[in-house]
Amino acid sequence: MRFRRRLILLYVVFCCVMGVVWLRATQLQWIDGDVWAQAARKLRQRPERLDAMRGPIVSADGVVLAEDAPVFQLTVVAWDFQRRARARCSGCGAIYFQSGRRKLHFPRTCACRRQLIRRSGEDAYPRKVPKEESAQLERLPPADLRPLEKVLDIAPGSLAIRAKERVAEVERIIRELRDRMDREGDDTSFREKRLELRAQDLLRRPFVIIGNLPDAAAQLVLTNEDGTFRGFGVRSALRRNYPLGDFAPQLLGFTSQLGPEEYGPLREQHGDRVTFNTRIGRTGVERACNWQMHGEPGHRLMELDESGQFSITVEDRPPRPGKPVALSIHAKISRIAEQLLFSDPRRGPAGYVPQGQPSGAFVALDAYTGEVLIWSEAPRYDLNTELDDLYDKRLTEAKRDLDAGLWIPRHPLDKRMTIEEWRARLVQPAPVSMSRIAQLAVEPGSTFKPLIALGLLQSGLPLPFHSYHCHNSTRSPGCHACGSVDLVRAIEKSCNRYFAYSVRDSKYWPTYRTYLGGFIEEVGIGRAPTDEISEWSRGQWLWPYVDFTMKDMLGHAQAWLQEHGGDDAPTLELAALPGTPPSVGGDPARLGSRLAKVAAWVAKRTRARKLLVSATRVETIERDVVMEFGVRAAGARPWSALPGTDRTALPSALSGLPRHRVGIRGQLERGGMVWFRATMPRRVGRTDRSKPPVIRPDDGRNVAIGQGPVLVTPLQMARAIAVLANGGLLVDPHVVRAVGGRAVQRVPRRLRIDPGHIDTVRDGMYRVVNEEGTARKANWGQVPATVYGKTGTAQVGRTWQPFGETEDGGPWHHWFVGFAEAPGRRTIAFACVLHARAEAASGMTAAPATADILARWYQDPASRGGK
Amino acid sequence: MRRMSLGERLKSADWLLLGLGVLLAFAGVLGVQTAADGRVDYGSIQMRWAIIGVTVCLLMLAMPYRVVVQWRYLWYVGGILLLLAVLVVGRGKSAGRWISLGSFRMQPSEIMKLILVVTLAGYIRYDKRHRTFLGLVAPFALTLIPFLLIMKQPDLGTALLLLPVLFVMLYVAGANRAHLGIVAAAGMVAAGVLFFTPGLLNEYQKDRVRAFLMQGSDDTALLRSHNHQIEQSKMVVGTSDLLGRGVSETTREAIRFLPERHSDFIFPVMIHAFGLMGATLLFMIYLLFIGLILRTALKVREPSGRLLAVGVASLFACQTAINLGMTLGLLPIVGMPLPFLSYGGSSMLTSFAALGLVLNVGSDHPVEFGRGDFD
Ligand SMILES: [Zn+2]
Ligand SMILES: [Zn+2]
Repeated sequence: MRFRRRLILLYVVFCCVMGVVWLRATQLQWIDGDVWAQAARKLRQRPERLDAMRGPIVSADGVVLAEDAPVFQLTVVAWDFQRRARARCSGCGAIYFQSGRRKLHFPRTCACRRQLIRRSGEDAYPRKVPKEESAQLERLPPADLRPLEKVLDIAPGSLAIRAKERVAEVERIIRELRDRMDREGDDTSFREKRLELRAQDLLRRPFVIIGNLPDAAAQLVLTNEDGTFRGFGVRSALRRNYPLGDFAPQLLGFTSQLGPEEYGPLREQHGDRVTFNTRIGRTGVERACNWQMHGEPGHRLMELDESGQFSITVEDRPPRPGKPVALSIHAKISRIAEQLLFSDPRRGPAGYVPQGQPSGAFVALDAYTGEVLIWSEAPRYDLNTELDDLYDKRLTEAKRDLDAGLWIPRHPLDKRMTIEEWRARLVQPAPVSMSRIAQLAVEPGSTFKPLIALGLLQSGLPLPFHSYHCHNSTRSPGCHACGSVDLVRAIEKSCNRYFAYSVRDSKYWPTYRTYLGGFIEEVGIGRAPTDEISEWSRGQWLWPYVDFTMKDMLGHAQAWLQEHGGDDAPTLELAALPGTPPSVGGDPARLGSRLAKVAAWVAKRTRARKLLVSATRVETIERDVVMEFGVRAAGARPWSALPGTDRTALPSALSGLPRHRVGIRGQLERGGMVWFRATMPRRVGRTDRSKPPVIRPDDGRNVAIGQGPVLVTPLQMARAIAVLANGGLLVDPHVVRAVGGRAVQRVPRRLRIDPGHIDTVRDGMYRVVNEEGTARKANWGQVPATVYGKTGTAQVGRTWQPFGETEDGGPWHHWFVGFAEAPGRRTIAFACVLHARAEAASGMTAAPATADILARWYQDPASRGGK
Repeated sequence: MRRMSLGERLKSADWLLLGLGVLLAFAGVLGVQTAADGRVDYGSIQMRWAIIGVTVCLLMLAMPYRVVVQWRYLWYVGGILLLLAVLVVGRGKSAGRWISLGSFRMQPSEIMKLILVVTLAGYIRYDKRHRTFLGLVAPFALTLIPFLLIMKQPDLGTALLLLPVLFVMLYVAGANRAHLGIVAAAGMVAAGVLFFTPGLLNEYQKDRVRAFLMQGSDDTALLRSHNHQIEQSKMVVGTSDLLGRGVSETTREAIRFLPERHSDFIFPVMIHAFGLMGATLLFMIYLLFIGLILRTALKVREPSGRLLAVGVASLFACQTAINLGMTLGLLPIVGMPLPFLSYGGSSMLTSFAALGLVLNVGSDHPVEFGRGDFD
């Protein structure tokens, strides 16, 4: 009976298999049961992240400059928003909402219906109202959102539009999910289920549509009971608040929420400290001291109770707030300085308002410690604007459809300015976001002369002429017929010719060339001031070069070509080369027109009809192109990057940031191709400091009078002047005095400078203010201190108009730099620059403004103490 | 050989077997009722399917199985056409396994399983060449055509189910064990090669196999989403107790996060509702059920009837073992319903039809042969 045997064998095999399966079930239940019970409990739990307060930023005189404050946010839930139909129970007045396509949701608040159920003895709680019953309900008209819109001061209907945008966004994501599942060939029967779960989750997740909701609006939504605001919700969140609004925005910086691509790396680096809600400093001090101010988020674990509410606290770890950052800056006097500099109608020619705003800077630092005491600049912007939204948008644009698009960027609802307006401002050559004190380098003009004088003395060579007779002549550079001047008098009178010829026409010129180059760098010009300042400056550089896509630029270029070439215009195409970045920095319109000109040229020469455009990362900087694109800030063309030197030295404020080169390639009919290269310094590269700088022969005269290739920031200037004030110490200018109560110490470096030489230059600067000098007309009587100073008026080079000025001479920089000392008072070094329309004696503009500021400073108790 | 009347058939049918089937189906209705999430009343739908199933079973009993076997190629070609239809109709958005007939979504692969058993039973009965190595070509060809079509749907689980059924049928029909061993070994190697051949299996299916091999680890998000199913299933089993919590809110709460709980993953629901004791009882019912079908096979002497019974037994046995193994994390997840218990009309109808055939075989007159066939 082989058949029988075979069957029995098979049956035994089956029994064994079933036995194994049974044992497995037993194992799962009896042996692993506890583990699974734990896991199951976790399903009933909901972890909550508690955001930590970010540490405040406080000024030296105790003014809170930045703090975390709780705010309300308006959210929208797509699911609810789509089901806004309402009806009222004729019995108790409870509001019923739409639940399915037709049916109404049965609210627990309806007393009459609850009673009905209790009587009928049904144990289940029906969720949907049966059709026949819903007929008895009184239908309500569509809810009116206008009261809320009125409180928010926005146009009628805009809330619904915004909510619909959000709902559409969610629907788009769900569609993408479905498509992706199709693409991946998800064949399981769970597919629909999983899709449904994801979709449900998205539809019911609240998304923020207004980041900072006024209390009145929040109250309106929260207290509403008739379901007017169904779909909208209010939740509280922490928001960075800047009580002074537009005080030193470039210095303080702003924070914004993490972008999707940042979360992973930061999470790896900082672990639990980083959550999806984490806001990090993008620029300024917020950036430089980010991780000190960043607190430890708390954690709370809630568990479902019997009634299905998350009410049981299993774990509770409160968040730990971040450390406060104390600045050395005195906010009140800085604020006063802003008033005096930029709001005083008496400033005359200084009242030039590039970009519709006054522009200029005043900075003062403790000459012995380098602590920055006064920080005033213009233009400024209000940090309480929804800057973070703009920033988030920038971050997310490039990565829109990645990761199934689960990241929904928030749009700003800012009444004051649209994103387009912001961007326009940000891509200007001297954008509002750039600090006029620490980042915008301009020609120092005559204020450079004390430093040149010190360098000449310090070189150890005999001065070329002890006394020089300056008479007005047509020879360049022009001067004021100063008469017979020596070095001291030349500083006092600001004699251009003394300096120009003493440097360039002396027989020692070859030595000066090398020595002065090195000396100027010694006193801190052409290099980054300090680690701290370069750290906060770094984030700033994201701003001037707000990303735009290559497509944007191509669009502009194509439009230009069409306009100028008509039908003959070549077609531009984005080359799909590996390494082509999706976006590069700069102003798409400017770059587009330049690209178009080159494209037209290439097309003409090559007769190519189609041109390929690509961009690659580059490591070297092409200076002239940098100039072309209007990038000239602290160091893009600094002192040590003089023409003729074989290297470009850039302050570290700009270092470590990638740049892109946009190339255009014409495909020739007979084969071969032409390349045009232009560098788009979205961010600029690291400095090579292996060789000392040398002044190019042609530039000798200009350098000596602070013109031509020389560019300095006010902060660099104040630091160099402090060397004269403190007798040879190079201080590190810094703004952070203490973090979390611990003082930040910075030790100045002693330079090898002969005190006698310093005295000589000081003498000249003393005379500028107190004798027959260029600044004598200012009201120095009000300042209870000895003031040493130097005026300077510099012309902006034609190649670069940072303020968009044209041929009428462009803006002029009115400088006044110097230092003030008084017994029992801190010695301060200061630099003041006003970007003005006309060439006026800065002794009439910047110097009087400085005198006014110093007078107020000495009234302030903060001026006491020090050496 | 005399045709039996319907009355005789009914009288001599194995009513215990049918009773067990109905019992299982009833337990299934309870389980599905428990698992239903309230939006769709799966329980009562399943109840209706069970009733239709029993009817189909009795109808199958009425038709002499030999006629069914005789017309096997008709069924076979019909089944293949249906599978092709699925591939054509079901393309696009909703991945194709079903043909929609009104609100009923027919799953031809379910029916094809049974058709294949009938076809093989007839073929092997009337062709003895399967004892030679080359003779295996035809039965394998008969199996591979639907196998590939079902794979293409793609429905890996049902497709793979066909192979053990074929092997069991050939084995009991007396095929050379060495031959079968060689074919099986070659098949294993081929499967390994196919797994790594790009384009043949889609990534999703591979991921499921990988996820199974990496149970417990959280390597990638994708694996986690596949593992989720297994982990949830094991969790539901792990948190059950000896006597069960019945069809109650507690049970509903515990299985809330288990996907596919009313269909493929009905067993964890059953064990949670009826405890390990209930599950043990369920195991015993299945063992008895398979045993009774095999007893039917022993009882009849007519070769195609025998093979039919054995084929159906192996179909049920494999489905049961694979489904239970997968819900307990012993096997990778493939779409495979538990016979009689899982929610689903096609599965229920096919199961009852198969049972009807077995009853039909069992109620036929024992025909004496000189020696038992296949000995
Ligand atoms: Zn009511
Ligand atoms: Zn002169």
